[in-house]
Amino acid sequence: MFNLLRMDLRRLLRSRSFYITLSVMAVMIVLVDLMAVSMSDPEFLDAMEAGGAEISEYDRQEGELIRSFSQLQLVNECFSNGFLLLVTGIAVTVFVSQDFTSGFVKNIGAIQPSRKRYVLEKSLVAGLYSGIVTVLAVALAVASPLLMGFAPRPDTLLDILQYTCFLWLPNWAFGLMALFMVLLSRSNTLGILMSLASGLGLTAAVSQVLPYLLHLPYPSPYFLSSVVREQCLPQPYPQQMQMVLFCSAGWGLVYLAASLVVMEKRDI
Amino acid sequence: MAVIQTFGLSKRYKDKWAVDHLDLQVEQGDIYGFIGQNGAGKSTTLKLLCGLARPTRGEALLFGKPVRDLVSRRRVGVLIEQPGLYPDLSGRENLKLYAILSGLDSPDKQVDEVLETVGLVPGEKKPVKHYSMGMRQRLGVGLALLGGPDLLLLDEPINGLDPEGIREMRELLLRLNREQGLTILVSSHILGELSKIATQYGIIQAGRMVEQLSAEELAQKCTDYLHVRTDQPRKAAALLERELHLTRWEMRPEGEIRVYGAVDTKAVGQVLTQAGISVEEMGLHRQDLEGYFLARMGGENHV
Repeated sequence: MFNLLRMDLRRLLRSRSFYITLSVMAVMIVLVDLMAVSMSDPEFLDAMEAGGAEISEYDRQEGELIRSFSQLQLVNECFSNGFLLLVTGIAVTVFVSQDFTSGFVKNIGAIQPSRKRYVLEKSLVAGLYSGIVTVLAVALAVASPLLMGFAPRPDTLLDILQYTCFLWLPNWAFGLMALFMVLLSRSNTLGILMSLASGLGLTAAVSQVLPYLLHLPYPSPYFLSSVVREQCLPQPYPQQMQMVLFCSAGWGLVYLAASLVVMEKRDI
Repeated sequence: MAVIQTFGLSKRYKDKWAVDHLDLQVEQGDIYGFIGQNGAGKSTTLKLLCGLARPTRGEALLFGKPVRDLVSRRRVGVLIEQPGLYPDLSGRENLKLYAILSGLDSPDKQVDEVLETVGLVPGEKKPVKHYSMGMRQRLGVGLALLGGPDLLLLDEPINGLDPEGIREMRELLLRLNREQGLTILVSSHILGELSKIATQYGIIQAGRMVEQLSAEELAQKCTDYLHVRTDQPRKAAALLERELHLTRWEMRPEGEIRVYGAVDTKAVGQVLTQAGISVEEMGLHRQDLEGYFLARMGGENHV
């Protein structure tokens, strides 16, 4: 039971792509935090202005706002743009597609004939991978301002865990989207393209066109990128939590069902 | 005991039948050479046998159980087309992953044993993407051997190997068959090599089994004629016709007698010697497997 999951965890920890993903993510988080910390420092802004840079009143207000941030508000600055979705989507795509590009899926299929089990175990892998990425990302985003000498208002551990959990759920669902794209195309191109497009909110934006023309309600608030941007907030309201749960579960189930259909329909 | 049996096994892709009512039988201990032209349905048949593809019609049994039966599936090792290996990991790591996937007890020990069996160094840290073709193929066979299967399904295992690699693979398969009693179904384009190891043959054309025969039957069928050279060819021919009631024979312009069909070589020698005719040369002329296959396919198409 769960042999494929065990195998994938071992492979994950030995794959270069895993460490490259984490490194890229870490660099991005540190850069965003560095920018935020710099912007929050009036002396830095003064020095910039003295150096010839154009610093507006808005920049100073922004700096003040950042200084008033709690830890999670600062963390949310890093992830509300869908950056973590993008990372998860690409990471899951690259990891799962290696089964097909290397041909190892033939070995898996020969040992474990159930396609349903393959999809379910890969879904768990997507969940674990997105979980690892989310936990490490949040941990780094919390720690890095402290390491830079900036101490935002502290949040409780419970709040941080809750935020992490609610950020992970849409990421997992997004990982399932990546899984579906790989199973559909048996390569990584489609998964990477969709991760870029959806993660950055492009599909949500494009999806507004048809409802606009037909005078229908916009579906975009239910898209995962919109959920991450608008609902995954520090100390969310119950409605926001429900929305995160509803959209993550909904999209997750849709992609899981689509993956099962695709895998059942085609030979390996 | 039949290790593999298929009954009317068929697989259709869109409007083409890749495998069409295939009846195949492989007995325990056989090395079964599976022969056919490109696109004849060999790989599809192997995929059907190991569950990578699902039949449109018909049934396949492994060890008397349906292909989907997990217990019988565990007794099968598979190498279909190129070995499926994660390129960034070492050969040992690939085997270890497969061992975990298979749920093997003491995987490290089994992995090392398999690496030794296929002639690879257990301590090799190099990623598979830097392996030579021969090393990859051997590692592919190693994957198929993990877990101690009773049946190996090998699709073109010597494709792309150099002569040394081909020889090593041949010796490995013979050793596995001889020492571990493995039943092996092997498809290959290189019929000369196949004929050195196979004990049974199956010839497939357009998805259908054209003929199944043993190596002995093949040897008999490949025997075209007996050729005899004597010091008195005309007298010898008349004598053989009279004494052995030969009906199909000819005298070649250079004086060689060719006797077609089944003939007792010993009796020919005795009749001629007793009549005082000196036999200068006598022997059976045989087609090779490739010649037989091409004749069976009805042309000179490539295999």
